Amino acid sequence: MQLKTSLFNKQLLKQDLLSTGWIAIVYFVGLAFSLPLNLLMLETNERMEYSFNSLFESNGEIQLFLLYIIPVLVAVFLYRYMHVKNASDFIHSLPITRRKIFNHHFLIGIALIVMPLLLTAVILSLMLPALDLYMVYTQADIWEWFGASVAFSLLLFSAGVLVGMFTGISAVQGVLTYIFLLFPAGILVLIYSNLNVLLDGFPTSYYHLTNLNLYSPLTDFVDMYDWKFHGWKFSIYLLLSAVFYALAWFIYHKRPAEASGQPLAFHQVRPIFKYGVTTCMLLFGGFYFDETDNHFAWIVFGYILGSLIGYLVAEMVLQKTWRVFGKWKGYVLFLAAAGAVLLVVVFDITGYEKRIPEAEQIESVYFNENPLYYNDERSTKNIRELAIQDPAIIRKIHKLHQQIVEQSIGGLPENRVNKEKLFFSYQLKNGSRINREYYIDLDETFAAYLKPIYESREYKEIKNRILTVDENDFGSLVISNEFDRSGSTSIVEKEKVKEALQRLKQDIYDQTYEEIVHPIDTMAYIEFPEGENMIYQLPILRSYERFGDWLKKQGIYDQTILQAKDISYAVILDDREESEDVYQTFYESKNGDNGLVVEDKQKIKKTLETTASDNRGTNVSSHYYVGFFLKGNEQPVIRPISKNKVPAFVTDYFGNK
Amino acid sequence: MIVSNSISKKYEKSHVLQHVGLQVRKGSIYGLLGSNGAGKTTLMKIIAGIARPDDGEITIDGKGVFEDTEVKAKMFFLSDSLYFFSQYTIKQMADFFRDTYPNWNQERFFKLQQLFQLDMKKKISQFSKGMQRQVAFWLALSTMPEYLILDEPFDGLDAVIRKKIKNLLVQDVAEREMTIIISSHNLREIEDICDYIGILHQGKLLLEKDIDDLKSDIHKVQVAFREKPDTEVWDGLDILYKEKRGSVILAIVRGKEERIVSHLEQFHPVILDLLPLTLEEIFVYEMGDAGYAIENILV
Repeated sequence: MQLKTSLFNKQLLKQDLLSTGWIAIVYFVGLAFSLPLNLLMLETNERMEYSFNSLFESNGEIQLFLLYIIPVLVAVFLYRYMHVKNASDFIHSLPITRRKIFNHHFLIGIALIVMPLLLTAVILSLMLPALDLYMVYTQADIWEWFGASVAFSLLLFSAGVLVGMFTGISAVQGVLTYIFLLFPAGILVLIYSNLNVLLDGFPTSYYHLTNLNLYSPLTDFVDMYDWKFHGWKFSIYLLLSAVFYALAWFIYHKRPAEASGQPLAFHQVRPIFKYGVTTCMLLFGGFYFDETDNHFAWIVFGYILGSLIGYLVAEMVLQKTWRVFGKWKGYVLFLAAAGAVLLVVVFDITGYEKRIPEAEQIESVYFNENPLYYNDERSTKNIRELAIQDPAIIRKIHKLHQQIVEQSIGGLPENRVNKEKLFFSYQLKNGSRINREYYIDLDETFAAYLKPIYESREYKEIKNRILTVDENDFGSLVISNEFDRSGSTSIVEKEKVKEALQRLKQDIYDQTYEEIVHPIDTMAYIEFPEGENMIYQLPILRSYERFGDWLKKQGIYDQTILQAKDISYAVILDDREESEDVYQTFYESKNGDNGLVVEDKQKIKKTLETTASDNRGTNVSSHYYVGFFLKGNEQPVIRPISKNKVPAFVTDYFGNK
Repeated sequence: MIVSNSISKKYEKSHVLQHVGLQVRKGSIYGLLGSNGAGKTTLMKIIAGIARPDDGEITIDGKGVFEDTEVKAKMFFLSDSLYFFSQYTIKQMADFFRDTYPNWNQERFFKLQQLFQLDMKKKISQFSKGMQRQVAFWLALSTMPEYLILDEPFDGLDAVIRKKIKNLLVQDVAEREMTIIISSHNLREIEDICDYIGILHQGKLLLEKDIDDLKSDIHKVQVAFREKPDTEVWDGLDILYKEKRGSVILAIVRGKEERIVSHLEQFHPVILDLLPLTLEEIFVYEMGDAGYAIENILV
């Protein structure tokens, strides 16, 4: 007997194309609208000046929508036969091996995804010389766009196929595919935010530095607009696609054909699914109640409610009915296990909370109030470069850390309100790293330990980037203030700029602990050009005496720094007595019902000398806020009054009310 | 020859098949009987290589079926619920089978068209359910299977078509030694074409019999004596059932015809008739108590 052993069954390919080819057509039409047609439209509109960083910018929303939907749709439709009993029986009764059937579908899937993209790329490539669009994009842009789109689509498609192997219902396949793709990033967010609540010192902010978006293609691709699809990412996407393909291929062979219609094809996966969903929902419950109301009792309630919902939903999916309220044994066991894990974490059996490196072990330490303070510190690499090397300072930081751990101030979210976040990142001599984060009150217990650190050159250099720049690099600076934009002064003489910066640096090096944690603002700031389009803004503090003298020398002190004579009146509000946001009250009703209106110049002057810096944490401000109303200006300049410096007439006034 | 060796299959926690062993000889028509949920479809899917048994094995001509394209190319499985690719015409479906089954016979396909008289260019979904089933048979027989697995094949067919298809099947069995396994929940539907009958009940094969053996082995005897006979009249005979209607005694007796006749003639009966039994009656008597459990198969 002669057997047809050709690699392809032409009819099987044809059948796939006939039944799912429409998706490719829809995809192509969508792409045509978002790229070639859109470019043509922009081109005919001659007044438009435009150019793209990447082709993803051309109707990006449509592209994104298609990229997220189409590959999964293709996976669902191509492998739909597995989920329909008749079709599954029919296909698997044919004299074709399962692997061959699988590969046929997979191949068609790739074709359906890649062909529309390729066709679009070719059209774009032809349009480029034909319409002279070199100003808008380049050949390299096209293939970069093509490569990124293909890699992303293939990853989604292969993930969709893999997930399809585990279920017998197409809708479940679709939903689970997105959950599966989101899972790595999602679970990290949940675990980190829960440990943040449960473990004292857990450095959540540090983990946010590591860019969790990267862990899921769905979150990573969202900001594709101005974005380079690096070669390594491309390789990882393709590699993962290949792994998903191989796994799916292997599992398809094992998959029982009679699984069609079952939510999960393998009964071994059921408990994993059930308790996996329960666990995720437990973590989500904790996360939700931590975000909304951060009392520990509510968080525990969130754990119980979340896991209960998760358990029931998982059961509903598995049993395909909503009436699942009979079986509680599994849930009770789960709660017991989860409770045990919770106790291990809360009572810190692993000794995490007490683990501080030995002082001699420390090579360097990055210490800051908040690792997210500056934009350019949003990477773990940058904070290493800024780390303190001086052993004397390291010893002081180590001592502070010991003190914090000994006093065990407790990491519960309700204890964090109005506290400053302190972040420690040690680089040890053995190569490992230890990161911790605490919420403490800068004024109380730890002031003695903080003072020598805060006053050290090293810490100041972490905190104030201006200290590490070369003053010769700047050709100009602008001095402006918040109340009067027209009052800004540009300094363009190199020598003057240099002098100003030198004075400023010296002022900062001389700042005392008190001046750092309770900075008094002048409502004026300095702007430096930095790189292209970037401006680095630095507030001018009242404690900057040398710089103040320099301003006077230049004759611009009066127009720069807000003074009592500029102010017609000031209003002081106590935010404990305001029903809504104090800023709102200032803007809308000027002084509210409870405001203290100050017109006396002497008092205004006094108030001006107590205004806290606006962009400092809540730790430094009192409950009082002041709005300065300038002559001829409706909108006030608003600042909190510094905590330790509330003028007596203010406390008297509000105290007597 | 199809041999299943102690096949077991579980879905979740229920045992759908338990140690089912059956043998289907080449060129025979094997009727698989059982009520709904007895495990017929599962057994047939295992035989067709769609599902895999948890335990035991199935061989066709000594080879396993699952994933063996050579064996599956000689076989055709017709499910109780038909499946055709959506929007396909008969012609397109035939093209598909031609590329898939190596023994596809185009001549036969055209010849059968004369018999079924259906428009090849019409979409299959536009045909009535009965017509679709004819299309399925038409395509199945055109693949020239050596083994044809039919799951409840006659549902929705009228008597004329049913007869026509049965004739076709019998003809193929006679001409090319095709082997058929046919399942049904109704004995009468298939008794006229089967050589063998197997009864599946709650996942177990209750019995497996050659119909000719059954028929020649069991007899309905009507006998009357002038005088009341001695009790030893019945000694030495395998009586399954006996009742008296007036002077006539009606008995169901197992054994060879000649032996029963010669034994009874010793007692000089006035009347002695051996009547044929319907298959239905045979099963009821043969199975005794177990018969009640499967009664509904036999109506």
